[in-house]
Amino acid sequence: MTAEPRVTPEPQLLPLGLTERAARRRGPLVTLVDFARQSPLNLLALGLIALFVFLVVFGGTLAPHDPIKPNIQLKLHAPSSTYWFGTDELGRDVLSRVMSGAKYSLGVAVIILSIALVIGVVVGALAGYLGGLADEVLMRLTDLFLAFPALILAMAIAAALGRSLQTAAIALTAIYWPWYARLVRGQVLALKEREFVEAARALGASPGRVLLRHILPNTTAPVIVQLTIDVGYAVLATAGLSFLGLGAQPPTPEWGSMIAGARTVFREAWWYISFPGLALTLTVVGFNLLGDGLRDYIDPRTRRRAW
Amino acid sequence: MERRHPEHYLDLLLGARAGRLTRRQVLTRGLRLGLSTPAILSLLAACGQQEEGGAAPTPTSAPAAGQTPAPGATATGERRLSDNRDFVVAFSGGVPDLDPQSAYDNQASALFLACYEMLIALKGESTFEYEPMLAREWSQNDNLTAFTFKLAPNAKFHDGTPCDAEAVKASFVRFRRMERGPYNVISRFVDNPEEQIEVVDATTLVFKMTKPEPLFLAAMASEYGPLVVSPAAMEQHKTADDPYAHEWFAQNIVGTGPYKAVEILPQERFVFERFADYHSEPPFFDRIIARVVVEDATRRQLLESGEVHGCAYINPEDLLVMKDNPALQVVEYDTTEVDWIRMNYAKLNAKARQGFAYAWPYQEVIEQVLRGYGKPINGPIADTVIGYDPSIPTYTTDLEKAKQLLTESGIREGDTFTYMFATGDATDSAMAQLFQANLAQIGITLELQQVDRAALLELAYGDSPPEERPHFMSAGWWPDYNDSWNQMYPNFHSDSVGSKGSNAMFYQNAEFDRLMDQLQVAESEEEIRKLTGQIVKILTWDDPAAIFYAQIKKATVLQADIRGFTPNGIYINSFPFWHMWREAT
Repeated sequence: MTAEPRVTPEPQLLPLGLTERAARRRGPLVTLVDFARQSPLNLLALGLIALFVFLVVFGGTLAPHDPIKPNIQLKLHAPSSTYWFGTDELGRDVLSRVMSGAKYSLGVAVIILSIALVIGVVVGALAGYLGGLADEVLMRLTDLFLAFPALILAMAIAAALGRSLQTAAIALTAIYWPWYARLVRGQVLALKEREFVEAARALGASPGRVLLRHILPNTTAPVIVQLTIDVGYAVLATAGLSFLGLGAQPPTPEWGSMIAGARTVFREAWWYISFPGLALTLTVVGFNLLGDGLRDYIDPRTRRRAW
Repeated sequence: MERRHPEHYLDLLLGARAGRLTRRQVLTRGLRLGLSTPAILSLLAACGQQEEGGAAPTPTSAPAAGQTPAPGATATGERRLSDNRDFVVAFSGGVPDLDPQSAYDNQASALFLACYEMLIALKGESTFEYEPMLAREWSQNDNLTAFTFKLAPNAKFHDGTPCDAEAVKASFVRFRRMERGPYNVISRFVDNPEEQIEVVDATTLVFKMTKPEPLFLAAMASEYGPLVVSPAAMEQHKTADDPYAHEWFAQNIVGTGPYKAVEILPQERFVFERFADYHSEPPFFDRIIARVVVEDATRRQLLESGEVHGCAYINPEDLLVMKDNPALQVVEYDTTEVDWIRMNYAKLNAKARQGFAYAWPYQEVIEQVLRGYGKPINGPIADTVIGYDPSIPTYTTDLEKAKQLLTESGIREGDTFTYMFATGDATDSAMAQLFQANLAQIGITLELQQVDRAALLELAYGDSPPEERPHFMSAGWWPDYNDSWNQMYPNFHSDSVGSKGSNAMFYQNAEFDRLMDQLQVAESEEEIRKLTGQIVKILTWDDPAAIFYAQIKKATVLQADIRGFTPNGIYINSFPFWHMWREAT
């Protein structure tokens, strides 16, 4: 038995649009720098994401005040040198709550999409590769979830399961996985008829090996682009459910629930609604810019010279 | 200086006394007329606190014979009426049950005063004086065992059927026999309605008591329960499973009130139009529109923009700001309301409930959350209610004591408890988080559960077992009439659990029940006070039923041109729609 020869697909189908050799040669850091140099917006996106990822990891530790414990004597104090972002209706430091809230808002969004991705990739890959009845059954199941308006479905699931950040995460996972299943299925359907897959199959590779080693790696690029864009929307959706009282419950410093708490006093305390709102906006903008930038970077037709 | 005509003095005097003139206007005109300083000062005093812009922060009232004209009325008593005949009122949540003999819900009762009627109503701010409603006259015998009501001869229900004495009796039989919600308002006095309510003629009926009942008239003026529904509608819509057509009345309105329902969307809005066949003087407003506006901020915004004309559900923070708005009038009044946190009797033993009562942040809530719209109270009986006993001690926050009691009760650090309150209520949310923070200090986790108001009411007044209910539930209550028994019976008596009252946490204490039975028949104020004191001590200290944290001061916000609104400490959050009108501006 001869060793299975490596089959190289078309260069533009590799992750980040790089040839495998080029990717190996350049390394992730060089690729990142190259991506950042493509456009000032890419740099901005990376900067924003780095900031919020930093807050996810260290926000709670570095917060200058306790983000949970009320100090009602200090309620609704305007921004000052002690409380840079002012205080909320219970006298808690808004800056500390925004910093600590990153792990709830962004962290939960990342967890949601990670789970949705795993489910979506498995379902989509199986449906696309197996075809026939399996494809029909799995896709009709996917259609079932896609048939409802996303946020309404999430609200219904969250309301049925009880109001908490965990149930909101489950609800949002339920609305995101079908999109990945659809996306991956389409990619698998296109790839499974390509010559390099045929070649692998002709050389005796098992279906599992063909799927895992030859097809799925080539679906990564569009999935990553979709994922980066979805992170922003997932952060918004998580905040939306919390705003409606279906997600994080008090006193969790989740940005959406902070905005919900602030809306009753927004005319007297502009800072209370503004700063969590700003954090939410910057996170969403950061991930959307990253998604757009990646799409352009991956596509050789839109890839530009570094600025 | 102006020429001195006697009518100028008269106009100034009447304008100041009626509140039609601002203090600045009185001062200016007084000086122009050359009045002495003491005379101007006395006029300014008569002018009250009214500021430039015409906003009167004190309650307005309808003009009556012999009184000075109300704002918006001329010296001859003629009102300057506005052409805008809609009154839009904002509620804070939906009204799931529209059956007036079942709903024990404040917002429902506020709606009912537009479309249903009691026999009599409380007069003005009094809690023991009455004015006609469906009954034109009433009287009682010397020993208070027979009460006779003479009905309006031309009264009709909205479905066109006559509201005669037989119909009223049928309605009260339904109220008593259905045994839902506020039925204690009638069952305390009438156990056998078929026998005890006698129809004398088409417009006269007599309620016969088995013993002297000094509180019967007060109970008949309650806005909870003794409202008259159409027996014809009941007959038409009753079923074998629902002989009183409760399900139908829960979604439809057929009363005798001045307004008839034309649109009912329980979670959105209610529209009432003037009932053409109303038996008394037609009210000023053509339409009453009740809008369900869940968000505190939105209700405030709608009031400030003039889209809503009245609202009784404004949080204290907003009230403090709105008091300075000349386009609005904030009518503040003392009430009989006490707010509390119900504690689950089945899930928490007495020591645990005592411990939690010590952990409540009393001072912070009253000073920083209620912002002066509440004061400390020693139990469920407000100091404005007959039977209040000031000798009962009041809880204060003591976390060490709380921890000790909770440990003795078997609760360990890290144990988790649930607290439920209505979504969108910023006051409840703030209080819950302060309580949560206090408990966190002693190692107890409090999980907050926000649910919409309708769901909260359905749980509180439904029949689900206590094991399926949270450990704590936010609540507030005031008596249906000025009486301590009536305040406590629906909330804590073992006969009032589930849908039979408002004992939402299944409080059951045999000694409490026994003393309540004695209180029910107590005749002297001294006896009422003594028994009430003993009962309140059980409810707060011996076997606590709830955390009683404040007696509430209320405020209703109205557009500045609304007149005729008089607050009442029993009809809290309600509007006397039939007295109200709008001044032309």
